[in-house]
Amino acid sequence: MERLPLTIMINFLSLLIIIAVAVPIGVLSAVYKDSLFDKATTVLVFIGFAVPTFWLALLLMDWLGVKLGCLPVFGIKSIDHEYLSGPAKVLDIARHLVLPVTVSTIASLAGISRYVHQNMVQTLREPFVLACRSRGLPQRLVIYRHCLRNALLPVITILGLSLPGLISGGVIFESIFAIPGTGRLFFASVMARDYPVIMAMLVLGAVLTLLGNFLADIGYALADPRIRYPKNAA
Amino acid sequence: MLRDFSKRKQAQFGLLLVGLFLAASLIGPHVCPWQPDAVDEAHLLTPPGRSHWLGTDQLGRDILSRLVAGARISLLIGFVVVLIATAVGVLIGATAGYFGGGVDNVLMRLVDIALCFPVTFLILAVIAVLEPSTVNIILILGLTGWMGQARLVRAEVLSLKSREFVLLARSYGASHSRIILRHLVPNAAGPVIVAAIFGVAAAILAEAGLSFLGLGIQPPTPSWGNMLADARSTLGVAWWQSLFPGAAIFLILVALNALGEAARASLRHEGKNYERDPAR
Repeated sequence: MERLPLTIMINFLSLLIIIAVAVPIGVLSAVYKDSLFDKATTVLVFIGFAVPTFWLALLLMDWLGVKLGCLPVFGIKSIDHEYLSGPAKVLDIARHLVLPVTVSTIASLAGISRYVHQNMVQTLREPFVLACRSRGLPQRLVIYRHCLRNALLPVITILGLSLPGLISGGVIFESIFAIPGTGRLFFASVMARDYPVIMAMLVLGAVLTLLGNFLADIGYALADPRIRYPKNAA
Repeated sequence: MLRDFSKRKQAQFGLLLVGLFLAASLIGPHVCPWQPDAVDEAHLLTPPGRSHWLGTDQLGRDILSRLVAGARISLLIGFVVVLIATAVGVLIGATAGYFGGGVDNVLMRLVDIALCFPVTFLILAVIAVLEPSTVNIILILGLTGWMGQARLVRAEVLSLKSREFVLLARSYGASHSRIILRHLVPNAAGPVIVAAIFGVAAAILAEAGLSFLGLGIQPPTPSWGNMLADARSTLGVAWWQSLFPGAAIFLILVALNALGEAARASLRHEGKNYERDPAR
């Protein structure tokens, strides 16, 4: 039980970052479609899709960790961690987390911002947007009050689907950065043919997947009245 | 659809890159002066230069030769895996969609069960039981990647099977298997092809990841993944050893994603005519 909190913390952090970065990118690139910003983010998203995370990890370790020496490249604590004062301990862990969290963020960042972008583009084409505009609502209100909520609904599904990733997501980057989390535990037990551990983690993963789907369905119903009252929707 | 596809810049770019990779993997091994596993003791960890264009690794093996040999394996795995996954997915999805009822229920619950395990865990768990050989890797990736295709084909078949051309086929006495294979599956091909292109990219990435962990293609056979794994020990010493194999993976993924995006766009473009003339 000492591995789970670590993996959950890293994944939770990267999930927060993903949403905080991907949603604005997706929304803005949809609102200002075909602008320079949209084109730049499209290219970035394309790159983000195609970069293998383990390669990115190696490059970042090489440049930031070894060449510039400004970030630690592996583990979660420095050797002298026990002798540091309270705030220094937190800072130490934070510095160790920068690279792993960055790397684990990139791939899903691209996917989700793309997703939000497409949803927002579709929403902006809806007749109700035209209706809002014809009533003379300012752009700000049209987008942030009326469109955003529609465009963000699918993010709930993504949040649900990412629940199993809380324990399974990091097999590769946890082994690269030597972070003692559940991904590395799973990898180690595969190498050691430790079947009980493998079975336990598979079952845990399956339970989290089902739970995630279930929570996404409920979240959807809470956020979207059309699903709560199916008769009115038709 | 093909005409629209070939006019798209993304498609041309993707085809060009994939073609280059294919050509390199076919011709390369016969042109390269170095064998991929030949050890050049005088040139350990040489930076890119005249004799070794992309440098050598810690055993003095030529990186370019190994990249080319790795391309052959990566492309082979990517395409065969998708072939298996698509065949299984199309068969299961079309059967479920066509017959409906109990058959549909059983097959789709099968899909649900397969989908409820996180993919990385599932693949690694199977590898823990089997040995990580090239054939096993292909089978494992193929047999854990068909669920998306099955759902896609089922949805397509559900909407196609009530069309008149299916009724026509039934009326002149075509068997179920003939209707599925000759009439329904070809009409559902568009989305399947798009998913397959992205599938090749995913399979190549998955193989590279597995090989990187040491659970994929086993050394001494070079693959982009295990070349990157070797590069871990020379981090900060030999930048060329980690840069080039990763760049190869990156480029092939960019190319395949571009192809996939172009195919998807062509499909959407074609969608309007598609509805009007289904019997084609």
